[in-house]
Amino acid sequence: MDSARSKTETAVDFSVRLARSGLLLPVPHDRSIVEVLREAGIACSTSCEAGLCGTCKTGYLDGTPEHHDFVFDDEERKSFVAICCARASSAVLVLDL
Amino acid sequence: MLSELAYRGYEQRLQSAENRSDALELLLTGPGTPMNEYFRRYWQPVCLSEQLTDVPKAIRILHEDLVAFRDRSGDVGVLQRRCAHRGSSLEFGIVSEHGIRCCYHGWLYDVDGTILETPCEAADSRLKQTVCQPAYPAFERDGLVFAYLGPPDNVPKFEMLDAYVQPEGTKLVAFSNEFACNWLQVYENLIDHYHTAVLHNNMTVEGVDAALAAGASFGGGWGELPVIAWHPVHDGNGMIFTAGRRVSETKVWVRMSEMGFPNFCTNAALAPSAARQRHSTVAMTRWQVPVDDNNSIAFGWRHFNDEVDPDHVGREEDCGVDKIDFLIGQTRHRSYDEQQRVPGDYEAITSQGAGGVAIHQLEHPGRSDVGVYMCRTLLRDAVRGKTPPDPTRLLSEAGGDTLARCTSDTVVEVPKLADRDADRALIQEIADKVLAIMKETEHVPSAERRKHVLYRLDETDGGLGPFED
Repeated sequence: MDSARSKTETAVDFSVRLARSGLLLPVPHDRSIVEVLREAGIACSTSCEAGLCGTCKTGYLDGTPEHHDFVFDDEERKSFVAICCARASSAVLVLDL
Repeated sequence: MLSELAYRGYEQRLQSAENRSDALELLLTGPGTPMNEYFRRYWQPVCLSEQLTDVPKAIRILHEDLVAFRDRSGDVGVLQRRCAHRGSSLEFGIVSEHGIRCCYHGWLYDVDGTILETPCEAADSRLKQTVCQPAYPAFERDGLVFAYLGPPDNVPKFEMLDAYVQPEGTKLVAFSNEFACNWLQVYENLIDHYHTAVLHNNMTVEGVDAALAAGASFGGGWGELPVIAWHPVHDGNGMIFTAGRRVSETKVWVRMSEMGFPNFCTNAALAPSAARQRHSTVAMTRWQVPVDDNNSIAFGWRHFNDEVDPDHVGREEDCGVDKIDFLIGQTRHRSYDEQQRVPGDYEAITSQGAGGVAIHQLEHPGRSDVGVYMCRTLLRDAVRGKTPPDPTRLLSEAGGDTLARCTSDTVVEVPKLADRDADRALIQEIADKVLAIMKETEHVPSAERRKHVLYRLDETDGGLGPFED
């Protein structure tokens, strides 16, 4: 069992950095990356918002994501996250945005 | 102005109806597939005891044609169907005192597949020492015939659950329900619990016969949309849902049912009383066994006792070969007109996808579908060998106590909060508490488990008061 999929873990604060603009946005424990991006005026495509459909698939360049989706395989997880539900165990997750 | 999603039939009509390889990994169960091997590591029900008569029973399990019989001395045999001699089907064999005799040239096979007689051969024939009819270990329990189709050096012990013997007086009644579809979509139906508040809640065409409509709904608190959470259990070898529903101003009903991979599940109560009883456990045990990729059979037991069905709405006589006693629409024996007007699980499940096989990538899941996708992910991990052995299975191998399961219905005293969202958050908190109590029982001796749960529930809410309505 991949422990990263357990929803019982406490979501902790981390930040996302947007590679192209350099913008650093904190992600509080009760907000998703998508919510934080949208509040900053950045459009994101989503559908299920539960890590099932893959619509929000986004590349990442640095940092250690905690994947909470049920859709990507191990190979995809090396370069992509589902930003509707992913968290990060590193302080910063750099997104290819 | 039209939505950009309006009238998109033409654009979307050519979407691929092929499953991707990660879906096929779970859907394909033929010889040599990972799922086929996975199923073979567990005892699987293959038919009902009542189907073993004075003639053999032809069965097909995991794409393999077999014959099951009970010889006249009472031993059960599960053999490959084609006679090892010249290929005649043993479904036309004669059940004998010991074993089964092929009708064509009289080869007599014992239940373990060894040859007892080859009447046309000379006395010095070496056939008995060199040939066998391929056979599998089998046994009967409470009306079900189980076979182990895996490697013979690794025969597991049959897992004994508390629910098979508790509460005292529990009667297990065997049934089979045949589904003209892949095994997985039937299995997923358990963890897809939201549907119980929709499909089983007056989902009928207006004007249908009242008794028919009533028979297709659970009634009671079932129509209330539950607050659901899903959790892996037993190190990822199974999973559960908790479903909390507000059933009165002061009471919350928490339901849990559990899957044990690859294809086993235990359901809590199948009656409206579930929503007003302090605590009850398993009402049904089920194995979803693939016949081939387009057909599967739910074999199992309905559990009858006064605790899980105090009003005695269950009917033992309606459980058996391809029939079951709860909710209209579980089996294939209805007119098309009735299927359309009073749809049930059978219609919803078997119609998913094409040719009886659901197409995962054409689905559009929402947050209510996390359980189904978690189930697929856990199954995929398990079939890929990423999942550690089930600790409860190891316990079972070691012998000793019967096994606890979380499957239960519990009513807890929790005054309603005025704000709906706050109340739903509270319901989830209560469900988590009940789950923690159920999990504790794994470490309590079997005979003490119910007492422990009741004690801890009273500790949590001060005891269950009367229903005010």
